Amino acid sequence: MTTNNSNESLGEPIKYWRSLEQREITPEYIQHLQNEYSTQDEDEKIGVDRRDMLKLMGASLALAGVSAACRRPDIKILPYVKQPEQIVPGLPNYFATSMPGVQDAIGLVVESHEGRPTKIEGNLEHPSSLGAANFHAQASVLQIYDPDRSRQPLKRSDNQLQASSWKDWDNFIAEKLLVENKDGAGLAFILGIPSSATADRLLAQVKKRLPKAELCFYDPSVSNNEAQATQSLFGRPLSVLPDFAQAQVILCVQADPLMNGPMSLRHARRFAANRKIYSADQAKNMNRLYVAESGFSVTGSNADHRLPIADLNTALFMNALAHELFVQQKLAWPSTFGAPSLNKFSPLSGKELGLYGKFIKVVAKDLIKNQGKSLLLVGADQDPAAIALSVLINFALQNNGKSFSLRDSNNPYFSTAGGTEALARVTEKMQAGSLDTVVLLGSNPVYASAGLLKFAEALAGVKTSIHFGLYEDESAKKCHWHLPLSHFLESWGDARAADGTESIVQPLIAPLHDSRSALEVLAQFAGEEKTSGYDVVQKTWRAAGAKLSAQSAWDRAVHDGLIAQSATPSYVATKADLSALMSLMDKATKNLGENIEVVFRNDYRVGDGSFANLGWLQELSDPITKLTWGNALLMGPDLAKKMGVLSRVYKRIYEAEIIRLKIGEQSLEIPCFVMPGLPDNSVTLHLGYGRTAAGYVGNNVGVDGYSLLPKNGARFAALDSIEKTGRLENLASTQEQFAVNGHVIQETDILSLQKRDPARSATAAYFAENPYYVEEKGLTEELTTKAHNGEKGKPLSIVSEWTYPDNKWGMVIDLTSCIGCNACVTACQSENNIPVVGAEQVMRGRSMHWLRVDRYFTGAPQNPETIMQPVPCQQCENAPCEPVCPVAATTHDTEGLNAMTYNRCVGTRYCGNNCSYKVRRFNYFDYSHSGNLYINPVDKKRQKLTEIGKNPNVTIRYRGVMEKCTYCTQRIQAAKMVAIRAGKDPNKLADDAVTPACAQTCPTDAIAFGNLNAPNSRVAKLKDGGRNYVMLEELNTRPRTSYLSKLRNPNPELV
Amino acid sequence: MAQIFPKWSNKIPKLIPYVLVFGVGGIVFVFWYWFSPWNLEVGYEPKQPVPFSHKMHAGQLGIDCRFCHAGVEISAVAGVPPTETCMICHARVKTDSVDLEKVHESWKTGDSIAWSRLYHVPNYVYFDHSAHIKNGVSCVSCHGRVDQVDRVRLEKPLSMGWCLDCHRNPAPHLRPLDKVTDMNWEADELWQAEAVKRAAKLHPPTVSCTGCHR
Repeated sequence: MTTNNSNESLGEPIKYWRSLEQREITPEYIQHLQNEYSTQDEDEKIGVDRRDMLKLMGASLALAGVSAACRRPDIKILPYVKQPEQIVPGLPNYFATSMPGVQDAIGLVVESHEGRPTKIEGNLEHPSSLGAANFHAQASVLQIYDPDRSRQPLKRSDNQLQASSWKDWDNFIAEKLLVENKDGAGLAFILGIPSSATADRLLAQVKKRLPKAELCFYDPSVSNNEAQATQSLFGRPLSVLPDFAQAQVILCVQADPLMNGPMSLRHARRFAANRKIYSADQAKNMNRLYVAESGFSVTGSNADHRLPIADLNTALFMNALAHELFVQQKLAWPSTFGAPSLNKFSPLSGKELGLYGKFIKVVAKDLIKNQGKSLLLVGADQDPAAIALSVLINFALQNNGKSFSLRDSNNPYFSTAGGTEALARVTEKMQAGSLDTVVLLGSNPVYASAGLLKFAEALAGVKTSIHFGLYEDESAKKCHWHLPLSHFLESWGDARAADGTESIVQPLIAPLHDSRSALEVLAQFAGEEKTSGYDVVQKTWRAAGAKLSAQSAWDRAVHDGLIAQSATPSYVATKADLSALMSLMDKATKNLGENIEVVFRNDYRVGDGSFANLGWLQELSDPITKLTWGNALLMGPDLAKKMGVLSRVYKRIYEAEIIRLKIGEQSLEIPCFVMPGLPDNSVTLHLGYGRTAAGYVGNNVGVDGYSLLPKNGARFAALDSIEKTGRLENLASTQEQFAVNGHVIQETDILSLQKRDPARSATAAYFAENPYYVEEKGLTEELTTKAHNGEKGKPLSIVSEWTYPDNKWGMVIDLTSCIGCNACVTACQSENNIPVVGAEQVMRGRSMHWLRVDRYFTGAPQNPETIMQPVPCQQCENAPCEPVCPVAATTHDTEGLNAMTYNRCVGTRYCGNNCSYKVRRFNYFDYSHSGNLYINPVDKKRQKLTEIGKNPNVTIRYRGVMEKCTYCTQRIQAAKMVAIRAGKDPNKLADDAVTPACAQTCPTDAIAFGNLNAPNSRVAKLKDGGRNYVMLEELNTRPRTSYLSKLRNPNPELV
Repeated sequence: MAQIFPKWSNKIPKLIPYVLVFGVGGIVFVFWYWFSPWNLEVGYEPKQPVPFSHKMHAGQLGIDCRFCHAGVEISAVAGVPPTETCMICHARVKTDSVDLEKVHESWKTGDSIAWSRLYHVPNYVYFDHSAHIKNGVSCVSCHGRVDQVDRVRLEKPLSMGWCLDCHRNPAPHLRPLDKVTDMNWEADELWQAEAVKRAAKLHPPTVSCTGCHR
């Protein structure tokens, strides 16, 4: 049965759907909905022999019995010898630091318990964070304790990497490397793209000391097309920095600014600022987002109008947009830039006219109408002609200096001579034999470079290859030396945010392993006298005349995590070279052919592959596809139908057909995931998977797409062939799991429930006229007490009500603000010690996330609209879970939480079965200890490292225990303790006294949490608003978590 | 045909009720009494690496509890003092004592002294010292008269029932805030009446599960 096979459909397509299967409502789907827990035959399907499993469990139980002792264990207390002044055992400290990113730095505040970093938060004062952190930043606290990080220098002898030491290395560099490669002759550095003042200083020194050495900056996911485009227009490499808060109408073409690239957290917050709609007036000022894209990005999922368009057509699209703006709608060309030959801009014709024509017309009109407050962004990896055009259009729309600005590029070395071209140049030299020593610092090109480049083969021919990295990765395994790098949480450094803000990287802990930081390594090559990280950073900033030469200024910067007012001023463009634009446009891709293209995008979770060994990220559902533990070829429903691709949900497991892709000699087999909203001439392939030397967690997960990546660094390529193989593979997709309407037994009820809006969306215009519209879709009058005096009626109840005289906690999640980035899920995982269970357990529906983000589609599968709905425990006042617990392990607390007492739970799972929202998670195995994915059973030492990163304030749950979200009750308790210590009443906490982990890290401030009984409670006000509703209201569970309905702002001309 | 049951077996039916009452009752008693924390936990008195005498320091010298257990008012953890705290006095006092060998060794080498833990609640229980101290619950209520013993022992069972007894009726354990660390303080009748009033006004100590379990 294929997805698009409409036989056996039980009814008309439903309005909101999670998957194409659900949209069709097949009988199998309904059966799946009814079972919260997988059954025996489903378990067998995944391929574990139950008998073996029982044997194993029996054996482990017996062992546990032998080792368990009856004597009271002698627990030791090891106090400090000299207690550091600022440390009080039991009280966490918070330190500011920054996470160096690709051309960016994210300001962080790290929670530290007795010197161990345990939790990452955003730094409120940092411009690229604004208090939020993304899931990569959250997971850095897992990375620092990763047992797979390399622990000591290794040197190749007898064709094997064997233990060595930094002393050996120091001798080698002084006596051999610098002697044999005098002045750097025959020496090449392949570096990640540093974005740091100290690195710039040291690199300049390296250049001076080793003038003949080749410096190559390479990051597989960073293209310098933007720098190229601005270089040819303005004669210097610039980068685009938008300000979403000042943009009323936004068009993103193949760009994903809310989730990817520099300052995405800031962009998300500033974007959402114009989507906080609580009144009719605000509804009129809601911004509007148009997205034209090939893949399905998070930005695209937030679009008011989304247009599927292949990457191949981007230049054509931009050209047509320019034609529409300047020729058809007579937008004035910015006079300072001279006059272009307008006949270069050509209108669409043929098939494309039908597909994009109306969109372009309407968008152009809207952009012109909103001159000065519109914004046009083209993906930084797109054709330079398209980027150059977008920059000039923004000038023509008078957005420059408002919603749009240009700044000097963050990394001078990279923008002019970096990227794939530089790597190709070095590879050629390696092949030609003109290089005898290659140093890889912070990059892994053996894995993350185009397969056709044959980098690994070239590297094998080099006499001495040296690798510095966090892990003994693919590149390390091919090198003669491997030297461990320190994690950013262990090293001193500095980093530059995309707007130029200088940020301080402060270590939270001394290096756990025998490692050096990247700056320390560079300092050695640069010939610095003092090479310790602290010294080199001090030298940059504390030298006479430097910004922080005063001690107080340095202290301030370390405390704040950044140097105030250090952002680069925006570039004032006075003239542009239009002939360069014309020549770029001549070079632009025009091949529209009938070929299907494959688009390469970094996976959201593992990035370019460097985050592959982080279980939190592997197990996180992709924001859009909801796949975990691996990637797939994403294909639009029309193309899948045309090709007859098999895909089905069979006994809960998503089975996908393996597809063979071919470009020239290179071919790749990868399972295909049918993804709504993709154009029919484009398929998307996420990079970053299929690693072979990532570590215990990340090895052999998914398929490596780098083999197909074009040599020239383009992020798309035309496929020579795409064919079916007929074989099926299981994908760990969570899009069907924990579907909320599955608890109803009768099929008829399921149908009626499914036709109801789980997210109750509307347009901003409709909301402006009907501010209480959500109630129309809520309960009927006979089910509620009578409403009067403008107050809403309450659902009728047969039980007496709880009263909450003290604190009364409540949460409101604004679905209009939520962009579905999933940062909250990882924040929750980090805060609450939630274990990672692995791909196979995820397939069985046993993932442990307390907070999930449900992704719903609505509309035609060819181009659906998306709604993201984060679902934590709803903390029902009439909770269905509480009365069914036979041992009172889950109880109601006086402040309205559904408490879960783990040590009392005996694991009947009745509560999970009875939960209407499917937010309870059961520990089938001892995922946190013996079943921990990071612990290799052979190597017990690994366990210690993973244990010290846990949050000491949350119980680590054992096998057989139910667990769930409790609104971060440990933070509520902490706030109460603060109140008690200050002599205040802990039962009358302020509205903002507690912030749960999810709300704290939310980039768009979509999650509001507070005390409903506090005076002027923000949450209480939000709950009073017209958009507020609760899930499954007719069940009368009275959730404390409510939602603000999703509003869109579609253009009436396009509807 | 020979008799299967000898004559004494007639008594068996009469004995059944006694066996039931005393046998089953005995088993219940064994578990209820000997397996209770009052029996299993109370009295635990491990040998410590340094023969530190609370009787000497807290009793005879009258050093306040908070001098060493400095976190008790501001943190969940009262804290075992760092070696440095010992050395405030013992850098000069009794420098050649054999008993203090480990302290001096720790100070020299920088290695911690490994004290044996006495008061220990399970990992799923989160107790906060500061909340109790700030509300007038004395150290004595849980730790007993440490000023009267050389080597401290576990005085209370630390069972959930024992915690809840006090959370439900805190008045007998309340003191004026400045007498919390006073080992010798006794409530007079005036205070007993005041304590009942104070307990009523006090933010009622939580009996919700979330108060201690997270």
